[in-house]
Amino acid sequence: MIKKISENIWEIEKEKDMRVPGRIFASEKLFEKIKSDKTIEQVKNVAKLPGIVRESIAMSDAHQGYGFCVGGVAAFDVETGIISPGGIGYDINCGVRLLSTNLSKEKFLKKRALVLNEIYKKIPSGVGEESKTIFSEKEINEILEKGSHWALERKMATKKDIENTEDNGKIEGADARKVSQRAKARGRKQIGTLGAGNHFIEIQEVENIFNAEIAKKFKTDKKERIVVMIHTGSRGLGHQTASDYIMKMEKTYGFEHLPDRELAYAPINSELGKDYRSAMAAAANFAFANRQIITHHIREAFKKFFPESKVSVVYDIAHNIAKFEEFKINGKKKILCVHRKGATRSFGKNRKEIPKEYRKTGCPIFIPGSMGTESYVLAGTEKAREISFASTPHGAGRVLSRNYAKQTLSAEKIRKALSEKNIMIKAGSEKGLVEEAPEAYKDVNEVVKVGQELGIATLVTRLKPVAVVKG
Amino acid sequence: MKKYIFLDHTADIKIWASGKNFEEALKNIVLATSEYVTKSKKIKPSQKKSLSLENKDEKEMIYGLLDEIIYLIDVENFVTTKIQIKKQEKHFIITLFGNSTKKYVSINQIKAPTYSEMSISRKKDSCEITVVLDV
Repeated sequence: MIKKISENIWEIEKEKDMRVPGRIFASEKLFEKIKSDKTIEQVKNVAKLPGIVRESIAMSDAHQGYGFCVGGVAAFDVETGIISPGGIGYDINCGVRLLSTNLSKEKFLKKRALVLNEIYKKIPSGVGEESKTIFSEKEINEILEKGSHWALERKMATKKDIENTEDNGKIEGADARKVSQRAKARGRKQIGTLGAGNHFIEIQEVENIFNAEIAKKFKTDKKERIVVMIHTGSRGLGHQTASDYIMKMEKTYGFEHLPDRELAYAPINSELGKDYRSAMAAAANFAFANRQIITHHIREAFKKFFPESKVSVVYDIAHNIAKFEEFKINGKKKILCVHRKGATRSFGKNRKEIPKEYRKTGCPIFIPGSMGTESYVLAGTEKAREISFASTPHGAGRVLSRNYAKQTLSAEKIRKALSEKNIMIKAGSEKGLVEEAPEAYKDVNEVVKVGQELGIATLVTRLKPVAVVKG
Repeated sequence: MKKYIFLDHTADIKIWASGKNFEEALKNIVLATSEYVTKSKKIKPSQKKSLSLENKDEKEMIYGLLDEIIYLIDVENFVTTKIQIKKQEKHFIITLFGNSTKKYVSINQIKAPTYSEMSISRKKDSCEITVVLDV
């Protein structure tokens, strides 16, 4: 039984072996879409896992995933709970980074094609595209344990870049020895690459400002100012780490008791649970370093054509990760292991985990739209801590299957539509272009509106694409 | 009857394949995977790789085989286009035939195999397998 308990909040009542109820944050319109695939069944399955606290959650952009839905949030008790690679996603620390620049749109447009080509040339995208440098195992191990700090040592990052990255670009407890040789072999060739699928680099302009005070702090307070959004993750290294640990957890703990085999898990404090935590942190560090190296190349590309340009990191935030965070449950403070799979952390003012300069505003949150549509900058809130384990959506969320998109949309039409909006595009493949067409996604405006109405994020700025690099 | 079909899935690739037994259905899953990766471009295989997978749990074996195929694309630039499967008492002896990724203009990426919606169903003279790949 599902009932609407208030505006934008739906409750899936506890039934059979569910340990907690399910909760979906969505408008009527988005809820209709959520009902059309297996999202609700997956929210129920997660509610059956040991040690889950309060409720199993799906965000307004949720769609069917494997095991957990994409857009899923679940918090587990550290003593009795579990950690599950399926609750984090194959692309560990897939996330979004926003760079601000001192360039106006007018100025940028004069050299747009040059900058775009330079970025496309420097940052391999698409499939089978290898990094210009193939790293040794020793170097990979350093990247896994140092994250963005590895890039800092090699002058590919500034101290400020590091300060403005979640966890300072390095999650503690990362252990390269817990990442398999197979995963490292996949990672060696892919550091500094964008990858295919929904990953992108988008050059955008500040289009609308909703909260001038916070926008100023987030360096997005001038209309038509150029910013750059990067969406990518830990590439093959992360995917392989997830597969490796799913297989290990099945072997150790079996799968017969699972509602879905993809929900393989280990108790948080078991040996295997600890190993996965160290491996996940290492893969997350790889993703931070990856986005940092990409930042370095973007900075150089801008410098080449605009020597006066200044490119700085606004923030870098994960949306596929498990974090240990403090929450009040039944009046008591507790550390919980919060799984966010396709959900972004929303921390309000004064949280010690966020950079000093954002402690008066709440942490920056980036919600990319689909290709060619607007993206949003938001700020974290205290309300999110109360109702959604400090989480908010991560994007528009797919609605059309890739198959259906391919059958009904054409690359030519999409190119035309983008050029009518004056958006320049470089794509690795026609197929990618079609599969990632705006029509294949939910309406990002609606997703953001629900978040704002619920108070789990504060609207700050809307960004409009000017040029896009797709894998 | 079709050997394999791509089914609708919101975010990923879902494949249904059929064969006269488990090995043949699995072969067809691999053919479908190859069609996706190579964007249906057919090139005669010029390389081969051998491996052996434990014959303990069939789903684990499917997951393990697909994991290997994905790994080979990323690490050895090897695209599988054909497969031979020999069943022994405790192991499956597998030979993969294929080409270098460099022979293709571009290929599609697969991030990982998944157990999501994985099913094996046996009928009198046939076997059907469904898998979802994270792309």
